[in-house]
Amino acid sequence: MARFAVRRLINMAFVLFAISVVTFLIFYVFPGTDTKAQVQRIAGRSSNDATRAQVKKDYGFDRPVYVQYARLVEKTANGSLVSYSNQTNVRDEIVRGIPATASLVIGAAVIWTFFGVLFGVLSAVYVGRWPDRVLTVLSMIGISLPVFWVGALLLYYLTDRIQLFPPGGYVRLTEDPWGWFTHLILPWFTLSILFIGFYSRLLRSNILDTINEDYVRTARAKGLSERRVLVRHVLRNALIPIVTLFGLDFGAAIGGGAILTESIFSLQGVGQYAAQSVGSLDLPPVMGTTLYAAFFIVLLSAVVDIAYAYLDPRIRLNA
Amino acid sequence: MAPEPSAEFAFEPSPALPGVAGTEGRPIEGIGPWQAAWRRLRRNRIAMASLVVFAAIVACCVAAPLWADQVAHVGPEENNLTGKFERGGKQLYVVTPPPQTKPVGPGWSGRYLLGADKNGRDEMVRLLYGGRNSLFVGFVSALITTVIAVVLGLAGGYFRGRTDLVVRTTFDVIWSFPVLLLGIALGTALAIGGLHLGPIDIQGGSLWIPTLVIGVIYVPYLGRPIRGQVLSLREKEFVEAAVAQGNGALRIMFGELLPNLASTILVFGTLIVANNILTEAALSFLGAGVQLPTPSWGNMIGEGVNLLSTAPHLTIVPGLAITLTVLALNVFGDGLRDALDPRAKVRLR
Amino acid sequence: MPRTGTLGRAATGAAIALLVTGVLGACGSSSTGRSGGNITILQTNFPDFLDPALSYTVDGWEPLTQVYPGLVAFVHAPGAAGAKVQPGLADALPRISSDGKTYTLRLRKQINFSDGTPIKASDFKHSIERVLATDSQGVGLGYTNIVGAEQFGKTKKGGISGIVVNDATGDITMHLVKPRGSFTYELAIPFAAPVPAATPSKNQTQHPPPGAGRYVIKNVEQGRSYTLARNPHFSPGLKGTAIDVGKVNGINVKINGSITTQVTQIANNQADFMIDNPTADRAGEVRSKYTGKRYREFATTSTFYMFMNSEAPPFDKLAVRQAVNWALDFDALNRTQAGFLAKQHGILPPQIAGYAPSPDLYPGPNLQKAQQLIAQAGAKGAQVTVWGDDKDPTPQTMAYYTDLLNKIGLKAKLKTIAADTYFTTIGDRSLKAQTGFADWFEDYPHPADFIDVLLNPSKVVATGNNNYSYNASDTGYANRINAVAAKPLTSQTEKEWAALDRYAQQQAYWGIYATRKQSTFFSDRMDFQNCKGDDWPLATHDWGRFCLK
Repeated sequence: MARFAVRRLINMAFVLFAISVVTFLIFYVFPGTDTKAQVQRIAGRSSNDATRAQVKKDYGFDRPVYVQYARLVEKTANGSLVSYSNQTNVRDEIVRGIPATASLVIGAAVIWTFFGVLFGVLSAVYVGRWPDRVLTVLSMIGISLPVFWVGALLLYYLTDRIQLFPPGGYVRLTEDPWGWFTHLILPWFTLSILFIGFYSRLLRSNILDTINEDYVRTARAKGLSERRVLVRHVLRNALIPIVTLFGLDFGAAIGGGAILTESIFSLQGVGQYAAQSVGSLDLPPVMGTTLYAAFFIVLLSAVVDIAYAYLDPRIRLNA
Repeated sequence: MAPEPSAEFAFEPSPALPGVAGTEGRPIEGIGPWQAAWRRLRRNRIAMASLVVFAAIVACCVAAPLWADQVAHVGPEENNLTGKFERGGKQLYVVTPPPQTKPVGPGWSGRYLLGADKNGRDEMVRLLYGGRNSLFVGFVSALITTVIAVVLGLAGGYFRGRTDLVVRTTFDVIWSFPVLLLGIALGTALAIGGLHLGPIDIQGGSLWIPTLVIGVIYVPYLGRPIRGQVLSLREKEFVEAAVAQGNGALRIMFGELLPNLASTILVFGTLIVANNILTEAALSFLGAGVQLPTPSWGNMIGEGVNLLSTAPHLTIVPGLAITLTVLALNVFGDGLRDALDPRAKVRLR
Repeated sequence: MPRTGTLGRAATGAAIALLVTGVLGACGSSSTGRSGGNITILQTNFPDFLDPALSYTVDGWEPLTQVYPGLVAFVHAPGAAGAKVQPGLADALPRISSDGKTYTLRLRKQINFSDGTPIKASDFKHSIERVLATDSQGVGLGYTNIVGAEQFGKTKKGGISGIVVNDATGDITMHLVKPRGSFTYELAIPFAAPVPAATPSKNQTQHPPPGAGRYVIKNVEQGRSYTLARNPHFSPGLKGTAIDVGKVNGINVKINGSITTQVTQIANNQADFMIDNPTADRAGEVRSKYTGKRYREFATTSTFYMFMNSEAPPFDKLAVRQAVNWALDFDALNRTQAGFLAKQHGILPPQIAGYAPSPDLYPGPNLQKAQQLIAQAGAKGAQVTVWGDDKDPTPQTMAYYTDLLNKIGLKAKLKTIAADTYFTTIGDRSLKAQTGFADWFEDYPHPADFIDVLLNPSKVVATGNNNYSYNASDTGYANRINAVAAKPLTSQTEKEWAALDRYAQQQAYWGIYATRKQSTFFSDRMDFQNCKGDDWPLATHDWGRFCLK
């Protein structure tokens, strides 16, 4: 068990290293984003060769590639990474954006888990009948909608045309709990639709699969009530893959998968910060946010795997 | 953003057992698993209807030049800012002059059937051409993903050891990258300068850029299940037999293992295409995918959201197109999954 | 200056003795409009920096010009009056030596920063050094022309030897390497504003240093909001001067990324003013409902044009460039920009001295003639890459232009790049950018700011160009420009500038089409009639002249 965990952690560290290298290279190799472009961007429109040479020297762009990479990583590690475009500290900016991203993702996760499980169970229990059909149709539509499209339409029609909700932005929970809540309703809804659709269908099909397993038949034969069978045997097993996926999806969303929702609703979270930085060819925030996001994804994936191995001995022994 | 079974658990739909068709009361025939699956699929009317819908959409988009030439008489990038056209007997401005500057909305006329966009371009023509581009990116990138994922999955699962370590780590790295961020970063970087690596020389505005980007970032999505499946299939007797017969690795991988992967690939296939269409839309919306003025459904929405007040049709129409297409794909994909997997006894009729 | 985010570069070169007539007295305070109250202003982007040594965008200058006055100050007045400078923290305009290389000023008495500490001459010296020490983008504006500045910029040690200060008397003497006519103006912009000498040479956005202006910046929340409050220790020595302008007590600035939301908020009186023009989406509605009551548009001093690289085919042929001018349709372009343009066919906007009305050489749009010219020049089917940036509404404008080039017989394709890197990209001569978007907003009211900076063939360099016509081979034109630029501005030289303008039109170096209109949209609370605060050449809107009803 411990060996398994240790191996996962080593793997995690290597993955983060590889991601940092890839991110760095994207801003080194391609002519649109390489150091020449970055120097031009920093030095500005009216700069001459002398200014640009000065910028190149001061920012270390004249050093060999591995030195540049090392310095970047060093700065990321000790929190002194500074944006090229407005010289703000990247770590501070990420920390500033975390409450918005966390509120969005955690809230959406609660919503999507609750409704996903609810709809999945309902669908499975009433399988073939109209609640199942309706929910299936809704779920299918839910996973086919472009998230940003839904968000943009909701934002316009419900905050501008009819001013039911506040028009974007994030209010801190500590400042104004009600404001925090009203500002997040539409983003939560937008982000959850996809996952509710997906998880409800997955749960439905898992339940239906499990229901036909032998051990369920045994449980019924033993005379247990349908409800008991459903909850204790079927649901527990049907939920296992969902838990895995939840861990991965949550990690990905916290990491920045909620980029689109944050951008549309101007929540100024980490995802939006990352997207804006890529747009301005600003490597330090991109590096910072990418590693931050990747860290979450990798961590949660490792946690899920370890927990899974702990719960299911077969995995442990096979691995 | 769809299912991602963890690497450790192989997803293994077993081929259909002959005789399941016998539930209808007919004499048990010895039909092959593929025919059985096909029959099941055919009986699923909803899935077949979605397939027809999807095919219709593809056909319309392919026929875009027909519409542009015969009906609308304009191309997708032809501006018409100051002109007028006839609809319902009246002469209307394509884009009204300032201070209003409002593009015309949908109506019954050959030209500007779905209205015009901010530059006076025909929205219907752009929708069709945009569909062509979005579908191209969606399909071809899915193809790229599939090919790379299968090759890597086979190699890793079969050879194990160091090869598998490389494959597995590659999957881990790509997958742990926040997918959309990687897409945006690569898309932005390549859109400006293009891709010039050795023999490959692609201009910045080419459709191949988003195609390649999306194709690469989703490799682990299919690659992991394939690898998992190969890992377990490898232990089976038929593989041992093939090895004993003296077959080479390539022969075994592509001759024995690949056919068994076919149903997995098919099932994931529709998911990947659907997913890639949505991803292309998201990337183009953010400006890191298909570059304007070349239309794609995603960047049309991106342009449209700036005019929601005066011209909501510019946002609503491409979004509906995407939703309908992806929905059709998903429903069909569902039916396909049901047809290939006999374990799910209860199906939506 | 270019609008897309950054401000431009002033003219360099020969001495231009400026006749600047200051009008003292009436400009300091306005007799109408009440004082007091708090207003809310909406910005789309957080200023690049809230640090006078670093900020280089209009978003930053609108607040900073109220907080950090310089030795010399632009008058707080609309239009041409606002383009004049008056003594700011100095007691008089600079005394310039006959060779144009020495500037002498003296600080006023009884002036202090907003924290109460007195302003010393060495504060000014340190402030200029900060610009160089922070590698600010403002360096390119000409502060390197001070003796010793380049050396200091490289080593960041030892101070700038060319600035000599005497704290006891308040005397400041600056020695320049070459005469520079625009230097007086460069002392009036935030880069040259004194801040306390102890201010570190690092970005101070989180806690902006004290300035001497009517307002102080407080409560900075990066990316979200900041506040301007009335300066509690406004210098007694500055009362009644050009700096003493500011009616409201407090300004809350909020950042809201969606312009359409901003329009809604102003319309509902939830905020009082927005910096940017309404989007195309809302412009029609705002204009019809509020013009004259809460909304006004005014022409900025700017020129919008399509540059054409005369070093790169097919635009090396005059006929091709002329064809583009024949084909451009102002009406269409105006519709891509939601009606925020005013027609212009010359280099110089009407507000600039040297402007002379002249007939349009290419009255259009005449597509046929354009096609003929292209065919005659043998340029049919020539591959052209059109460049544009991604800042709305430029992509729409460039989509129109690309299609237009295709219609007249070229094979054009649009390439859109990020606004932040656009001008430096096309300013790289080796790129050979053929044609694309360009704009220029005045830095100061002198024709050299347009013609000399943007069209002088002798100013074509390898990188960092502002002359995208790359007409380096037109040495005759260069000589004419250099000759006129050396002379002071008189009615005679104005005619010469007009002739240079006409020559550029004849050579069709640019596809000129317009000047931009800027809007002022107020809430009901604001006193629209008396305190518009608009049309300010320095920073478009003058927050100090806003007031409530």
